[in-house]
Amino acid sequence: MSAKTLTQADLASLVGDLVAAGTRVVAPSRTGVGPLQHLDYREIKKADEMTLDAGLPKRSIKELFFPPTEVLFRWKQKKNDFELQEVETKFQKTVVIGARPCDAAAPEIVDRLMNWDYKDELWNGRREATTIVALACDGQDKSCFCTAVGLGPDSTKGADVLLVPVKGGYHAEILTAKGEALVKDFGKRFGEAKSADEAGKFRETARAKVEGNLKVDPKPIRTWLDGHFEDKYWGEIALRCHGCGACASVCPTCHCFDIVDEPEGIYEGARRRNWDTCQTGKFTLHGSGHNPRGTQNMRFRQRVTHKFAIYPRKFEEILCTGCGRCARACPGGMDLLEILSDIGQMAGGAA
Amino acid sequence: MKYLRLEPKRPRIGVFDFTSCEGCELQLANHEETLVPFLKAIEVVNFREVSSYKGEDYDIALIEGCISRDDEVGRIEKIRAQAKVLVAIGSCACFGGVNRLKNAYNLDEANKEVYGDKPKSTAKVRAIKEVVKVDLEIPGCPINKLEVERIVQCLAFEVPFNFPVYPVCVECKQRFTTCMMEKGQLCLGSIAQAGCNAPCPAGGLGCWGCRGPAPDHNFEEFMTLAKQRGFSEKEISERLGFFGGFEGRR
Amino acid sequence: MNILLHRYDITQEDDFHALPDFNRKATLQHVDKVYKAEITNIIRLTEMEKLFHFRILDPKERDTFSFLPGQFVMLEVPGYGEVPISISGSPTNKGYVELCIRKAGVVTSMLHRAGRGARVGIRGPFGTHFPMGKMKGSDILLIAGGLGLAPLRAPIFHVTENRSDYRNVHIMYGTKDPSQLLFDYQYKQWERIDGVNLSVIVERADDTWKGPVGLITKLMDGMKIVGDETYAIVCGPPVMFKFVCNQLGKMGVPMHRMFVSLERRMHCGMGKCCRCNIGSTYTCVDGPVFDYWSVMNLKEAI
Repeated sequence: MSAKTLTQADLASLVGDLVAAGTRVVAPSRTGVGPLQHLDYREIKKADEMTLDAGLPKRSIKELFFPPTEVLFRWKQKKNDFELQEVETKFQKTVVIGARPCDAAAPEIVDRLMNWDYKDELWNGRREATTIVALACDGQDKSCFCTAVGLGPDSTKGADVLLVPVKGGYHAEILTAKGEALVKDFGKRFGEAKSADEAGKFRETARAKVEGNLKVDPKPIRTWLDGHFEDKYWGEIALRCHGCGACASVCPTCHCFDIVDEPEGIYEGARRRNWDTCQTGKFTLHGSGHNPRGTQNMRFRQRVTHKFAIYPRKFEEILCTGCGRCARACPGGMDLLEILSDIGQMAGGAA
Repeated sequence: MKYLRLEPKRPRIGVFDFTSCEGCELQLANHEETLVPFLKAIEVVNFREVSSYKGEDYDIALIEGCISRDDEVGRIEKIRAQAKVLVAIGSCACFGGVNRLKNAYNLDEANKEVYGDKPKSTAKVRAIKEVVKVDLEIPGCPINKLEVERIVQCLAFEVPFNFPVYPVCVECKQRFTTCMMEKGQLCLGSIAQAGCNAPCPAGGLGCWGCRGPAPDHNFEEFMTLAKQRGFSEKEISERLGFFGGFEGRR
Repeated sequence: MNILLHRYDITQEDDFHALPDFNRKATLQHVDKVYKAEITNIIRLTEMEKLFHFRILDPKERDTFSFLPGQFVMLEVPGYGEVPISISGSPTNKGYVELCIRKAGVVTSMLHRAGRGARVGIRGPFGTHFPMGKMKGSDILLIAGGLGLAPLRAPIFHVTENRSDYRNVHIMYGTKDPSQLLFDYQYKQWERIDGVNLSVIVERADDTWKGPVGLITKLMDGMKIVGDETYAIVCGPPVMFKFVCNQLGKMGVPMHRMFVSLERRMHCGMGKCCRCNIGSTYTCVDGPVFDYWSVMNLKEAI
């Protein structure tokens, strides 16, 4: 690991260099008009489209690796037979600039699932083509809880380069081979590191700010979840839930999908995989009509246990980066922080 | 589908309208890019907006509109006797639709208000299922042509069609539409049935529930939420009653 | 007189010392590869179920395709979707894959309408299998309810084709009424096999029905078995597992000697889409065949 300095002007030039080199650059950017205006990660062509100081974008970078809908193969009727067409698994080189640490960590967590048995080519193809330049966060708001799940506003997990804001620019930590390659290719934009102390202070302040939001220990929570599947706590958990799936769609780690055949004309079509959510009843409905997860309470229990007990058991990672988007996006006001702190108390962990 | 050694039966279709705006019928003739294969997949026997030919040997009858006059009862019963499958299309046929608002008033007063001193025969508005047996209901104001195409495809091959059970909210999330409630509008999206692909919220209008209630919905929470956001009982009740789909839940 | 009572001690079982293995996995073959197949034969079983013979078109692929009893395939109908279906034929049958399909959703209804010569795709096989090797030298109980006979037919074939490897075999089958009995043309054949005992029961009899009437557990009443020398395979609707397996337990069969095939909604078959999750178990990869001891430790399993 090495460190460099990147000034504001150099960062702007870097964006220009990358675009000129034919690389897709994705960064937080303002989009929409009037009351619909918000911050989102999207492809930019010029540095001034990028907004790095306006907090957490509304959606995560999940969709860069796992699009809301993608074609698995196409089929076409041919005389009395059908023909299958494979899809391209080579992807455009991409650099994400300014991904918040909670977003940068997520793909690395989901990597485990995508490679535990069958290796998902589409996911891996996009992962390999993408370099993530993360940006240390100063703690967005009261819904942030990255420190409670073992990450932090300055976490380097999943990032190839971490930028920490300092006066006049950024202190850049080069973390992986992909990060080194970026520095090598655009060496003239990176200067000698000189503000490590200032960066350290920024990181400490941000950490303290987020730590105040939620103080729980994920270990006793996992133990509690393992032993309290039938606890009365789950009985009324989802009273406020509409089953709309907002939480899953903004979650950087939610990865459930549905596979459907969609016609493209009468005699041809595509099989697609689309984002899905375990919060709808149809998710587990059997062909026979039986539904093992018949009520919203059971579905919400699945969501919480999957993130904090099931996934850790199988893949040794918590399926949550503490970005707090689910709490912000829920129309019913379901708050994962509240739930975790409840469970933390019941588990007898740090409250 | 030749690769399945199947030739679709071209279902013989008749389209009929009762009290309605005929918008759903117009919708059937819409979506030009697939109109030709769509019309090829079916045989139009009786469809006033598409063809002047009037046959009586249809297998599937698509019914638009509600029953609001006594003479309509005889007509729908005759259609029911002929059709093997009777499909109610649009919110009017499924729930009574906007027309149902009339039921809240005294019939004579309403008649006088609309027709002045030349009163017409009128009756309480009823959905088609309240008069004859309905085999399938396709709600929506207007109906979604893409959904109808899929249903007709299913009917042609005699396979079941499943409507979504989740609320419109899910489709807004799929389209990344900002929540209308967040923007201060009343929206029935969280309790209304999906399948329309949520065009209204995407266009900046809260859901009016034209497709009726979703099988999986959380009505109590919707009421709490709407009241919390400062909408009055009257406002919510009016919205719920607008298309008649939430009759009994107001 | 010294009467030696047979005492059963679970701790003497080899399997007892092995913890339930939630993370055991099927060995996946080329699961993302679609084998093109043709419907060569359609056999009407009941009003709702048909047995299809699928022949994989490419002779090389047909040769390499092999499966073990209990595994399933994904059947693809382009334009309509794919469905997981248990293989109900014999593992030694290389000529064609036998799938018994009930008309339930869009894809299966489409298949029911399809004619001979129709082209579809097959992916798989997926999932775990019944441990037929481990069962050698034991008495075997094969119990099915309703459509459960479809997946159970694979182990029935295996047992009858390797008859000398197993001791007594009891096949028990129950349905709602006589019109729903599957594979009724094969009962005579199974019955005549040496040491195979077949009994069929229905919940509601009609005029022609001569056999027993009642629930499937009635067939097990008064049956004499030696628990630790018996293996049981149970296939059927989720509600049946509880009753049948409890009864088996009372008869002395330990839980890890009962095997069930769980039903689950599945989509990807590769342990990714989370649909078939039961706790940290992905039914499509870690299942669908589980021993009952593991099932009891899985929440929301049935």
